[in-house]
Amino acid sequence: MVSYAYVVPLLPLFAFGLQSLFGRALGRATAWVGIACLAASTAVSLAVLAEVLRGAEAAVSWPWLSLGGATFSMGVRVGPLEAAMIAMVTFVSLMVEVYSVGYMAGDAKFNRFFAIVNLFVGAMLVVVLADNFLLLFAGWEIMGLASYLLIGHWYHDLANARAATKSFLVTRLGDIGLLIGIFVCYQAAGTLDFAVIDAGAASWAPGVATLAALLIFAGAVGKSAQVPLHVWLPDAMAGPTPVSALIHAATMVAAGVFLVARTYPVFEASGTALAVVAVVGGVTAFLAATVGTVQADIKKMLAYSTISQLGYMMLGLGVFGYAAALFHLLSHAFFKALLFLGSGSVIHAARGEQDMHRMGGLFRKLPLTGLTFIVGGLALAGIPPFAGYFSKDEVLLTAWENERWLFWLGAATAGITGFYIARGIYLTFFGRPRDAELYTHAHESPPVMAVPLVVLAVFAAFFGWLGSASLGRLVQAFLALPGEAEPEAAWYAAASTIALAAAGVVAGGLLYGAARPELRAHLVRVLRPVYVLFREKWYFDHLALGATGLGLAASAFVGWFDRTVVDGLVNAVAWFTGVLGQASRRLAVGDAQAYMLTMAGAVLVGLAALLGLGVSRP
Amino acid sequence: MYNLTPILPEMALSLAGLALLLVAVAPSARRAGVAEGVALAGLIAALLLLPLAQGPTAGRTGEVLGGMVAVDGFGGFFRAVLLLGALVVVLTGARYVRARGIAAGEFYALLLFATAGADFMAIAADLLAFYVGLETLSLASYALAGFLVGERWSLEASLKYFLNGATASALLLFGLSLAFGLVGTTSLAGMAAGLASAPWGGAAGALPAVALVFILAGLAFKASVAPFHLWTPDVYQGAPTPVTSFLSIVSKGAALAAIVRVVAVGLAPLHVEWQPVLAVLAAFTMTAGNVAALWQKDVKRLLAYSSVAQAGYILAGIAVGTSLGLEAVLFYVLAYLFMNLGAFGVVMALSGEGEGETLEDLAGLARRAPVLAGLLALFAFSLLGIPWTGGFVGKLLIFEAALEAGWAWLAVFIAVNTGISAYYYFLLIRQMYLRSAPRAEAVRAGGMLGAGLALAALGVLALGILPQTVIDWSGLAAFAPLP
Repeated sequence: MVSYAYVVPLLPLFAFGLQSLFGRALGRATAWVGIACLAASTAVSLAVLAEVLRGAEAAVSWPWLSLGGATFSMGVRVGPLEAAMIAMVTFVSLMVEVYSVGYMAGDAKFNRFFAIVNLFVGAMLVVVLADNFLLLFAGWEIMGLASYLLIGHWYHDLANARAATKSFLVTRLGDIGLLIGIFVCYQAAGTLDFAVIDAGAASWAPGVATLAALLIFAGAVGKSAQVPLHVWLPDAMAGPTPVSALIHAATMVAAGVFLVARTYPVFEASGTALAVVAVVGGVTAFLAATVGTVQADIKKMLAYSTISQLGYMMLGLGVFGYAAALFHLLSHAFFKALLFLGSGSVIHAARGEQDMHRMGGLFRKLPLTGLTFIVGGLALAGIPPFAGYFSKDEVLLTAWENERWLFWLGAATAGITGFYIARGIYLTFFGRPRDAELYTHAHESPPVMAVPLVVLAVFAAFFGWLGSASLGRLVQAFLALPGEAEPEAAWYAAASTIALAAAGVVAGGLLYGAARPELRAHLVRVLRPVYVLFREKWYFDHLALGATGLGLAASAFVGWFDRTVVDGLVNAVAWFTGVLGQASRRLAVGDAQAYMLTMAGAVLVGLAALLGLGVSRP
Repeated sequence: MYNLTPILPEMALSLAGLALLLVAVAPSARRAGVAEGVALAGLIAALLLLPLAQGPTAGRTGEVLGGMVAVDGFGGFFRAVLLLGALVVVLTGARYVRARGIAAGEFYALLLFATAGADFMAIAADLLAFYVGLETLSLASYALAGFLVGERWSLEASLKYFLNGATASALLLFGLSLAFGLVGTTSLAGMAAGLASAPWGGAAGALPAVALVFILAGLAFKASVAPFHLWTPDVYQGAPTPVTSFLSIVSKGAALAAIVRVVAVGLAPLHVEWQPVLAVLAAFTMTAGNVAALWQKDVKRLLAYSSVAQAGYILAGIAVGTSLGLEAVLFYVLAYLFMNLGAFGVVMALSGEGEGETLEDLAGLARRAPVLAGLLALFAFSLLGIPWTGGFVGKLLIFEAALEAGWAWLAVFIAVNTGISAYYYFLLIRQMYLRSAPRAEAVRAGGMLGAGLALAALGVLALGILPQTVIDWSGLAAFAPLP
């Protein structure tokens, strides 16, 4: 089975083909075509995982293009990392698609939605399984395209289309880095195959490895929304909530983390690059968590939480915690998909309302959603024995061993995480209903949406056990690189993380549950500068705006230059010709002369360059 | 008596062109239909005669017609590209020509003559044959650009193109005469041999470089290489769209072939000079094209700047000066043929209905015409270089060639430019897929236009998914070992 792993991405892509060609004829059945293909794909993935767990590995490759001295091949390889990833991606996608049947019911572009989701899943699986940079980049680009189209799904609201463009452009910035990083690897290794790059990276010159790793990391920073390119992810919440759950929480945004893991030997060859990864990850985790504390929009809060958790993963990779980071990637996929789908269930019940300040008391109306959301929240906060506790703990313990200040930054983040998720849960589900009409009309979601919530909640609750010390740290042992040591169990470090997380949860719960509103208002007054800093998202959007403004200013200058200097020149020439002959003034061919002047100028520059710089021939 | 077999395709084109002139004066109610038929017949006949003209061995190189033309794989490949390009232009443009009331007989006659001239540029082994081919192409193109009689922009385009083209021709001719003066022959092979043994140093030593600069300037104009590209957006916008389409692929393709023939082969001994010059021009061209395209509101102007940028990528392949570079150029030109003609074809499908001129006209196209929108998306992806399209593989090969030959900075330029260009290609996608349609009526594209678009889409996908099959089948790899 393991050598047939290439079927896994082909099935959803096949579904995409069917859905886009026969979407109209299939009608509502379109969704089930996709779900059937995804279910088959999940089954194959699980079979592959079972075999890889027993020690099987496979690499299949076909020659694709050979011209001159260049040969490129297309192939897949399956090891522990790939097997775990495809199982998670197909499984979560399946849950999200089933959920979407309920969530998207009644949407005018129902068919298109499912087709593009399947395109996305296929592309993501290509990224995971690719055995070379070329194929990975192919999947990477198509993933970005699908994300773009889905963020803009509800494009009748112009803001959504704008959010799509913003997300596309910002991630594109990182992709340029990635592309150049791929060149550097190609130059250094002479091939794009990961196997060769991995084997040879250690012997590259340190400067080359650092350059390659940092450029690849640029791509990861864009895709995984790390500081300073994180600004697109909160805007991406404009897409339908299932998309936020699948693409912008569980899978695509984790592809950046996966990319760093995939090319880990290149990063290991350069200490500098790993340090950069660690610091960027730690800083991102902290900053995003602080911003999460002041969000009113339930999806925006979860978006900042995703950025923060992706930061943890990067932090883990940066401090040599390869297995820990990937463990956290997997467990985060389950609980964050759960949280997003839960928020979708709430939004669905609240008829599109996303402001938590207008909710409250919804637990009585949505008991199942509330219960599963709380499970997800506890997993996110890192409260034992939920999934997030084990994986986050592993990341932080690795940081404790290697970079003490990053541990404390991560531990503080854990506390803030507990605070904002407790606040979110309380504002949404408890207290008095703050909007009577919204409350009256709220109703629990249909079974097609409830079942995925329950399944994911089971994973969010128990997946972590697989990585616990009592079960022999199965997940980490499976994913670990050869020779990777497990972190020492420093009980005081673990205890302080739990204590901070619990303190955060309790503080959030007390402040929003028990304390009077005046206390909150008072706190906001006292902590005003900090509050404003968080509310303004540490001014990163202003930074982006500033950069855009700079760009606009530059373009304005170009425009001014064009109008004044070029047009002036044109007008001068036109005037001159006008003096020479009235006939030529009848046509606006003034610029024709300007074009000729440019040509003449270019010839002169060419002559000067070749002659002036000396045709120093022997 | 010379053996005329090697130029049978061009003779077929010329005969069809003459026949078209008769069609033009014949009183007939169905003149346009007859003219289309004759033009297509001429182009298909030329394509069918091409294998015969190339002779039994595709890789053979030899000069015929008294050393005027070279029958080699490179020329054969480019002739096929140019003929195929003209064929797709006629297929996709026929509806536009009818809708705008263009005099079909004269129009197609000039188109065929221009194509014959372009062919001669691609197979020229002598400066005279090259220059006559160039002028045939140019004069016909000036007239074609002004074919929307009564439309100010079209006339202006024609005049601008002519005024600038005449200047460029003068520059080119000056460079050619200098080269002739240096070596005393008009044969390209003889020129290369003569320059290899030319005396260097002193005042005379500068002359080859001067000749090079002037020759390059003339050719750069024809290929829309920055900063000789300023005419391109004006002319592309003003000219009838089929002519724009023709200029962007047949005229530009012939100019790029001529850069290889005249500069890379004829001036081969000067490669120390022309390689960096071409590399700088390539980098400048792709950047100028892409940055300017960002601000365009008019689809034809946007595609004009896009085609400027594309020429930059191709020029980069020539600049690296290796056989892999040339192979990459050939592959890219083939991909460019399909994707660019396809993009203009979709624009023509819309402008036949009296729209499709501005980006606004594309809004919501995905709902009004899902197939056309899907095709334009495919062509835009290919122009951008998204995987599984011909444009991606072409770019990959040019990257590869640049890196292999040690032109890493040029590869980085291409990468950054690809990033910039994503913005405006996605603007097209956004208009079509993420905007509501201001009107509801569907757009149809059947008949010849549909066939032309299908051919282009098939080409883009075949080159992107099965590049090896296409390379083996066309024998492309065998063309590269030029000198």
